[in-house]
Amino acid sequence: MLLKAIGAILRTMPFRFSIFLSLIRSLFPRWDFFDQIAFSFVVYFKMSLDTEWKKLSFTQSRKSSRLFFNHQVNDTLMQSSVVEQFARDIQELQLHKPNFEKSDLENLTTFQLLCSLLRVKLKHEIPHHNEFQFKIVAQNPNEEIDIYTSEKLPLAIA
Amino acid sequence: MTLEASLLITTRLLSFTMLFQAIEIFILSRQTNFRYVWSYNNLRCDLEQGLPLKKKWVENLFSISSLQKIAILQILLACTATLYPHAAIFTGLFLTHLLICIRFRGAFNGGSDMMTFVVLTGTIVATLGFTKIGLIYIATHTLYSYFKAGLAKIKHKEWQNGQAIPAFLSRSLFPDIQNTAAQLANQKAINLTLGIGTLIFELSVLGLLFAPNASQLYFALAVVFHLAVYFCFGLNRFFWIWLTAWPATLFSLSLLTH
Repeated sequence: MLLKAIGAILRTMPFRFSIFLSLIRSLFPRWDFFDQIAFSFVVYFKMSLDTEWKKLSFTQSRKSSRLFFNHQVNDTLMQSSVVEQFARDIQELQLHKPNFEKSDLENLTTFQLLCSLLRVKLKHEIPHHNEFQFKIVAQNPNEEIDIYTSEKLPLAIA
Repeated sequence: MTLEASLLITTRLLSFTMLFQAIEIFILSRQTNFRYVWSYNNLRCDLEQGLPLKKKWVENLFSISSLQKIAILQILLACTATLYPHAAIFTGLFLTHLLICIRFRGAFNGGSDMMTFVVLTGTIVATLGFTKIGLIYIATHTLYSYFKAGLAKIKHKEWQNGQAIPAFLSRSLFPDIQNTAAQLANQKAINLTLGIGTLIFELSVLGLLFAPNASQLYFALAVVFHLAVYFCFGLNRFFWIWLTAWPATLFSLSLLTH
């Protein structure tokens, strides 16, 4: 009876086990840190079609007191990991759905996070603009590949 | 190191580490930009599809205001754990840490979150009365973490020829480290020494099983290693949680000398 009720609740929910595993992945340790020099992903932005692409910086200053409270650096590390995760999501989307639609990409959580992050960062860098465009470039010591270029997006924070 | 000393230092260090972590989350959760980027709206899709719970419950549990409450709860539990290191308190810390990791799509700070769960699990087992088992569990993961990290690196030629050092340093968030990486790019001898040195340090951890008397020396090197990683990449959480794991490791290795 109870199992049936739980089953009925679960069926009404859009549950995806692969996402669940990803959400609890920290419970399953993996210790292969800094193992290979993979591509790094860089964000470039511009405010209008006739301007040059500029690289978005994720640099931080260092203070010795941050050995205890390092929230700013940890926040920036999270921001750069959003860029990497978005790049990975695009590659997966291309692999599993070669003719994916614009909405497939815009519905990605990483796309939402990245757009919000860019709005926050660009609002400080170029406050007097209404729109922006960004692209993600994969880099390694030997080559650079543009893997995604966005359409023009509103800069205003909703 | 004695069993009692190891358990005492582990529980104290773990409490402090969890306290620092919670304060960081609390400070961030009060910042407007952070609240905007990591809003529930942006995470809705993953959280609602990835958790077998009703949407309403998920929204209540993972809103920004709930994140603040979870951080405050973790601060209170961590403070309590320093005075009363009971399994129930550490179980509470395990749950708050899990909720925070889920809130950030699986991890807030990668490997340090994984080691935090390892130390919390071992500490819960240890404070339930199975002290030796809990501490040996932490030690096993700690020793394996160095060995596996070395094993994963040695397969790649960039670690064997030293190219990995400037390549990874160039990805640091700190401009001075990026500059150092650029200067190191042509210093093959230094890069090779640092690269091979890292591999030897990480892989030689298995030697402690046959020469446990060297564990104090390895621990000292590990502290320097984690401080260097903090200095280059800002990974303060890695420093603290690996430091927390070492008393259990030193105790477990001391068992091999008897």
